Amino acid sequence: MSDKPTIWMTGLGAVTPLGHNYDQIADRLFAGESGVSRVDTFDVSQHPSQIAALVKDIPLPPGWCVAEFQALPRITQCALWSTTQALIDAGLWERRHDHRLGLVLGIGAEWGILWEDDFNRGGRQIHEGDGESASLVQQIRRLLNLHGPVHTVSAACASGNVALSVAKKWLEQGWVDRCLAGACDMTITPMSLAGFGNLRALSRRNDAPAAASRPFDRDRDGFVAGEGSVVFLLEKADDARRRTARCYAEVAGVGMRSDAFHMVIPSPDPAPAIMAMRRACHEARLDPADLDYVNGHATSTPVGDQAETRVLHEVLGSAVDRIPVSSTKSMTGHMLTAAAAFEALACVMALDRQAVPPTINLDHPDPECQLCHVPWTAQPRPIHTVASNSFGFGGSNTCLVLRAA
Amino acid sequence: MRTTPQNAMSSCGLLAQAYLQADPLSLPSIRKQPGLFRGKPLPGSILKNVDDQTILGLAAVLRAIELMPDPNVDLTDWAILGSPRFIARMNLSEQFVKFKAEGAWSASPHSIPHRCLHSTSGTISQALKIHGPNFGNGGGPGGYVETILSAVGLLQAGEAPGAWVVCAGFDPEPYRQVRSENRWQLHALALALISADHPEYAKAPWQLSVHVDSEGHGAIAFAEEDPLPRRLAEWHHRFMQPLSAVSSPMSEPGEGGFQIGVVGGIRLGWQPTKAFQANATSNRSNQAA
Repeated sequence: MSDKPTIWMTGLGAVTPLGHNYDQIADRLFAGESGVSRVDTFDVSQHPSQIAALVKDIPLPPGWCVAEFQALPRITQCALWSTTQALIDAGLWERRHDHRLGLVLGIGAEWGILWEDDFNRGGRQIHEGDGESASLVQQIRRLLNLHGPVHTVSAACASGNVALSVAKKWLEQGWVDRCLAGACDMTITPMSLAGFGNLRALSRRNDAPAAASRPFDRDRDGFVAGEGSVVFLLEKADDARRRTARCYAEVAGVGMRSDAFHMVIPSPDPAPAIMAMRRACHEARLDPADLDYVNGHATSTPVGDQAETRVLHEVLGSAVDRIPVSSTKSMTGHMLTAAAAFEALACVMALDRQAVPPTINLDHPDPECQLCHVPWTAQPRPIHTVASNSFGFGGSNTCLVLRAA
Repeated sequence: MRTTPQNAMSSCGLLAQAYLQADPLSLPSIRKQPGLFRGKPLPGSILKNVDDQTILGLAAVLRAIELMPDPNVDLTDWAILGSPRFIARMNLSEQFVKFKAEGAWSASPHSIPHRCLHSTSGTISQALKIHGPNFGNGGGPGGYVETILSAVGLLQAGEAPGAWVVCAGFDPEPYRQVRSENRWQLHALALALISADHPEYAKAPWQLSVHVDSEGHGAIAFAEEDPLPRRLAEWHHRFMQPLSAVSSPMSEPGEGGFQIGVVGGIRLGWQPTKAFQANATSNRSNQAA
């Protein structure tokens, strides 16, 4: 029996293509609404893929004036809202200075995003620089006046799970009293949308945006890029109980393993991803067959969806026929560095609403992806433990297990 | 009023380290062959499109492996924590101009996999067939401290038997003027950290520890003064300068943050923990005696 402290999620903040407050996001997620639309924030007429799941507006955190907030880069706005909201939601906003409060954020291309934004507005930071600014996590630390270590991590699309893993360890090791953890990505920029498009990774179903993200479906043609930010407040269960805080979920286990095969293509050997799932379940002291729901990585690419199906068959065994698997990327697109953090949120919502969010656009399941799918309509059922798979460029395989408290 | 009056400390061993520099003349040959891995060259196809910082980081890892007490130590389950600093500035600056002139079809498909924070760790994992966790850390000023902190935490948790910390960065930064005069220099540092449970721990030439106190202040400390912390001290001076210049909170006394230094020796940068200060004072007294 482990003597590690139990870690709870007691607050959250989010900016997503489905909205920016808990009920709004959950309502749209369980109603099967798509957040994908044609990109209208820049000219995409020459882009191979012209659709994305965009964040339409970023709310103003308390204490900020509109002009000051809007002068910040969008990625900073997103991170500020999410971290502030997570602290408010946890009931710790006023007392945030009283703790060693860490911050771990998954961000894959922070400087690239900032440089491109600056360049497109006529700036020359990338060419000439004017003294390098502090990183986003350092800025958030200063703006919120936090007292604890900060850390930027990136495992591409698995970054959110890595951030939760790092934060969990910091809490277990007593380096922090509480920790904000999540991920943030605002990569829907002219050049990155073109880069993903030229990588031939994106759907070109430009005339039907809401139908473009089709995980596990026979007729899929690539993923749809998305953006957003999701941050959780983590603390030890004993501390949370003492202050009678609400618990969204226990962070029961995180497994991480690398393919060591290719920067972009999933390994034909499913062993590393299998190991990641098994490690997460082992840390959670859970038989994988006892999972009540799996939020698949399932990006809507044939090679990725089929590889994950093989992993799920191996890990879940005969239970693969009865444990529901869905991909919320069908609604949010692939939020890239922020994807794993959003999918952790979708799992929290599944625990809360006792229902499995659907995979929309799943009309004709790929015969190579035989799973217990949840097409189109949310499925009410008892849910106590959930797993979220997230795999990333660079060969990162991660799995997060959450449990109802 | 802080709520947890406790200090926390985690320790690990340092099995090997390597520090490399490259300039515009030497980098192309390093790219062609960054080194041998256990006597064999790496496949060129892996290295063709990767970023310069990743190339030199990989070369530093290969050099550090040669310097290990047992160069055949099993690395399969090790973690790789990459920390490129402002990765791909040179490449992206050219791509932005091209993109503006030529449009969407000019965007390189290699940018996504090879110009992100996780690109260094992912490439090294692939090149050396290392299956432990791999992820990017930091990315800007002070990123190497975040990386060491994360690696020590990961080892302490038993997530991997060892962890590569791979830092890279330019000095001076390759701004347009610097590039046109060909006076940039690229630096890379590879540290092979192992947990106290590792069979090679007894052979590790150095130990380091992370201290975090009840105020949220922290330090990364070495047990004694030796060439490795000196190397880190140089790294710190080279790459923390821009952060100090903008008065980041991590460099301001009283707001916490982490310090790299040598107990009883060199002290650098950030606000030290009280325990660290006490140790340093005590060691200095002992040395004076």
